[in-house]
Amino acid sequence: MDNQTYSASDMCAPGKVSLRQMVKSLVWLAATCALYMVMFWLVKRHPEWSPGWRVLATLTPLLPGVFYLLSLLRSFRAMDELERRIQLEAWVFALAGTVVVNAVLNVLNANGMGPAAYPHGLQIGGVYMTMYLFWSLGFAISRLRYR
Amino acid sequence: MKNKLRELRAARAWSQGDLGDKLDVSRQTINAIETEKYDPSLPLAFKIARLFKKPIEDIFTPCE
Repeated sequence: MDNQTYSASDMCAPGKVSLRQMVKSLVWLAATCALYMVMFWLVKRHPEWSPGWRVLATLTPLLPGVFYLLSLLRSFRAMDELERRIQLEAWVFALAGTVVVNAVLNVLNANGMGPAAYPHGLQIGGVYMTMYLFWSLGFAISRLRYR
Repeated sequence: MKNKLRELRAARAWSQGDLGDKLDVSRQTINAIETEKYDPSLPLAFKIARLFKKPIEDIFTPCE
């Protein structure tokens, strides 16, 4: 294929990062989330557990979380230089966008005009969601830029 | 930076995918270099020069 247009499958193609690697990352992420929910439920249902056990159960999801991070790093290393550039731009966009959104919320809250849902700015869940949204947007923009 | 990658590749009747495989980069990277949207790193530029058996400055020229 020699022309400069790309099909939808090309845009989704992971380049030098194998599909297997991406699936592996997603499996570790799913395991982390699932274990987090299970442990959250268990700790809430068993207030009789000793503090040690409660801490251990709460921190258990960190284990698949570490494997998820390692898997992400492996994917990053497997990327070619343009893909790394695209990812870097997407992450910078995500970070900057999240900081701006949080700053706006904090300024609005300080002046008593903040949205009722965010009285203390973005909470940790909000930060993850906002970062993910900005990362997706940044990734799409950057990908189109080098298309 | 301007480059002659497209001409060099076309002269050998290679597709962007073929060239990407030879250089161990994605087809999108080759396309971005050819359309001058992306300047390759120095190691990749050397790899390209070695592949086409030409000095780097014969392939890449800075924009004035």
